[in-house]
Order: sequence, then C-alpha cells, then structure tokens
Amino acid sequence: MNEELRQLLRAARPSGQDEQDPAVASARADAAEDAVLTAALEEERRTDAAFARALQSTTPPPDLESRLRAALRAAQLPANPPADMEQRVLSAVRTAVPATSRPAAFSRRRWMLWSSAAAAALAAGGVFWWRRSRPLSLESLTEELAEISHDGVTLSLMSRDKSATAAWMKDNGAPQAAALPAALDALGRKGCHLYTVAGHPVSLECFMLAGGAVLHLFCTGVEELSDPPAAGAPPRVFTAHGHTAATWTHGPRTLILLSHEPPETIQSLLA
Amino acid sequence: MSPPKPPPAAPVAPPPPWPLPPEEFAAWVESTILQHYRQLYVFALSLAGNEADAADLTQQTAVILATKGHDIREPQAVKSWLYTSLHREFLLLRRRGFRMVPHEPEAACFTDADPLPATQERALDARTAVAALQHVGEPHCSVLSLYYLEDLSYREIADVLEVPVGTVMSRLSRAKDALRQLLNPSPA
Repeated sequence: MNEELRQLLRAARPSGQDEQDPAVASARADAAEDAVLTAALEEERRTDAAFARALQSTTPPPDLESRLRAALRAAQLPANPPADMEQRVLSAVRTAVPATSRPAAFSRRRWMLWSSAAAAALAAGGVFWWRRSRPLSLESLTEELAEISHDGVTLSLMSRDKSATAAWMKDNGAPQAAALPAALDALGRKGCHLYTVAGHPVSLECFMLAGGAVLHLFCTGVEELSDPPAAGAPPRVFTAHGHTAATWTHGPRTLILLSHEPPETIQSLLA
Repeated sequence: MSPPKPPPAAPVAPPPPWPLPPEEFAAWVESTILQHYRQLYVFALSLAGNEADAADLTQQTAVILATKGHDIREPQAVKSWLYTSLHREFLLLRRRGFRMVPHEPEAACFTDADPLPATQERALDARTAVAALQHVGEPHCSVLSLYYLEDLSYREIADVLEVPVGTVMSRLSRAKDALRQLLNPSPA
C-alpha cells in the first residue's frame, strides 16, 4: 500500500465517523489485503481511541458558561446611545398623535391624549438621559465593576504590548491615566476594553502578576463620579464585593483596581 | 478485522434562513456557543497550555461570533468557522509575543531524563493528554488536538488549519509517531 493511502487511514477518526468517506472506504478495502498492516492500524485505532477519550474528558472551568453568556450579552449591547435619540423621541410623539383631515377645533380630549403620549415618550428618553448625565457614586461604580470582573471581562484587544493597548485606548476614546504607579506600570499587560457602565465610559486594562494572577484596572473621568477620590491623595486599598479594591485619582481620571490578591500585594504595587 | 462501525448520524436540524433578523441572531449565537464551547475550550487548552488563557481564547472566539457572525456564508459550517477563528486568534496572540505559559505541573513530566520502560504505560487522563500535546509542540499539537477531539474530519481540519488536506495527513502521521514515542518511548 502506498504511503498516501496509509496516511489517509491513519487520519480516519478512531470512533469510525470517517468510514463512510469514499476515499477512506476505498483505502480500507485496499488495506484489507495486507494482514500485517490491518493489525497495525487496528492497534493504533485502539490507542487513538484511548487518547481521544482522555482528551475529551477534559472539563472546562465551572464558571466558563456564565462567563460566555455575560460576554455575549456585553458584545451585543450598543456601547453608546444612538446619536439620534432626540429625533426618535420626537418621532414617537408625532406618531402617537394621528393626523386629522379636517381643521381641528380645540378638543380637551385630544389635548390630553397628545400630552400623555408626549410625556410617556419623553419620560422614556428622559430616564435614559438622566441616567446618562447623572454622575455615579464611587461605591456604586465599584460594585458594578466588581460584577464585571467576577463574571469575566471582555478584551477587545488582547496584547502584551503596553504601547499597543495605549494606542487602542486612544483610538477608541477610552479614558486613560496619564501615568500609573511605577510598579503597576511595570507589570505585563494582557489587553484592554472600553465599557459603558450606566451610560458612563469606563476603560479596562488587564495586568498580569508573575504567577499568572490578573489585575483589572478600570479608569473613568472624574466628572463621571459624584464623589471621586481627592486628586493627589494616596490610593485607598480596601476589601469590597469579594475583591481587593484600590481607588485613586490622577489628574482628570479616577482609577479603580480590582483583584483577588491580598491587600498588602496591591499596596506594594501602588506605593 | 473489520473497521469500527460509524456512529449513528445525529439528526441534523434544517439550517435557519440566512441572514437572521437581529432578534434571532443573538439567540442563535448563544445556542451555537453553548453547543460547542466545551470542545473549543479543550482545543484552546491544548494550544495555550493553561486554563486561564484557554478560557480567554474561548471567550474571545464567542465574542468574534457575536460581532462578525453575520459574515458567515454557510451557517451550517459554523463549527469549522469557530475552530478556525480560535486558531487564528491563538496565532495572532503568538505573533504579538503573547507567550502562553503552561501552568500545568504535568507539562514538566515528559522529559528525556524520565523515560519509562517500554512495557509500562502512563495512566491516561485528561491532564496527561493535554500535557502530552503541549510537550509535542507545534505543528503537531494543533492537528493532534483537532483529530482527537473527533469533532472534525481530516478535510475539515485542513480548512481550520488553512493547509492542504495532504499536509494534514502527513502532519498527523508524523505527529502520532511523536506522541507515541512520548507516551511509550522505545528502549534505548
């Protein structure tokens, strides 16, 4: 039997899924004439089946499914509100009030209907605008970010290159601090992403410690918060929402660092 | 000796009308990922060598489907598309100098200084299998992983790895020999 046919038979899956492939079936018929070859292929098939069973018994981490669901939800949400929101609201108001063909005398009923529709439409848009424009408290933002960190972050850019993550964040309008504490800045990167949290842009940059542990550094503008940490004050390290958290403000940016490392480790990185 | 009987063919649902409206697309993406993520994770683990990077690669592949799945021309071939996307993402990271560090201690158990007698077989479990694939390295690792997952035919593996079918067959043949030598080294 020539080498190509032998390789074809070795490429057939051990559980038999390829036996109906005409090329495999034809090669199998040729091999049947060679008892030594047939025995060797059968021996290899048994070994392959055992290895396949072992590999296929690998189980993913128990939280992977929930991480994937969260990532898919985040990937399919619009990052920013549509620019034509005002037009949409007005259009909704107009369509709520049907046009009439005859000159309309003043009608109290029609006026009530019109103003109710307008109020409802504007309320829907207004809630959105209110939420978007109202600054968040540092505590509520930290809580939301802890949930993101726990569920599994999304990285739009996966890269170990510090300049690549900086360039991506700049190109995508992601808030960045002008400078980071030296020890933190010296860590290897893993990637970055831009979230919208309650209507506020928040960037994420992932760092890796030597042992493989991951740190999540979130950054937003001080204007997005009702109570940002005082500029120039040292980072505050504390435990919250199942994480070790650190918050500080540098210039116009507030940073929130989340990890599962001990507070002493985080303190040493931010010193 | 007669070849193994092929398993009964799984019922194939008719492909959805394509492209899907947005409200159905999201549900299709989620159901597709939930159907395939376990196998994708194992493939990612064999490439990356550690659970954290494997989970990230799997998640990244899911996000790619959510954001670019509209571009798929044949939705019934989405399985191959997913493996291809994951493999490309892995190669991209490697080109960016993203060195995947195996964290599994068993990765260090296959050394030339630690040969087993030919009559003794290593107990095969999931961790040993993944460690063995990591140890044989590329280009053997990816073709072996796809082969032993048994999720794709040799033709589909060629599509995923973006090489000719003949290359897959010859590469697989050499890879199996390397794996066999690793697991059951010949006596000196």
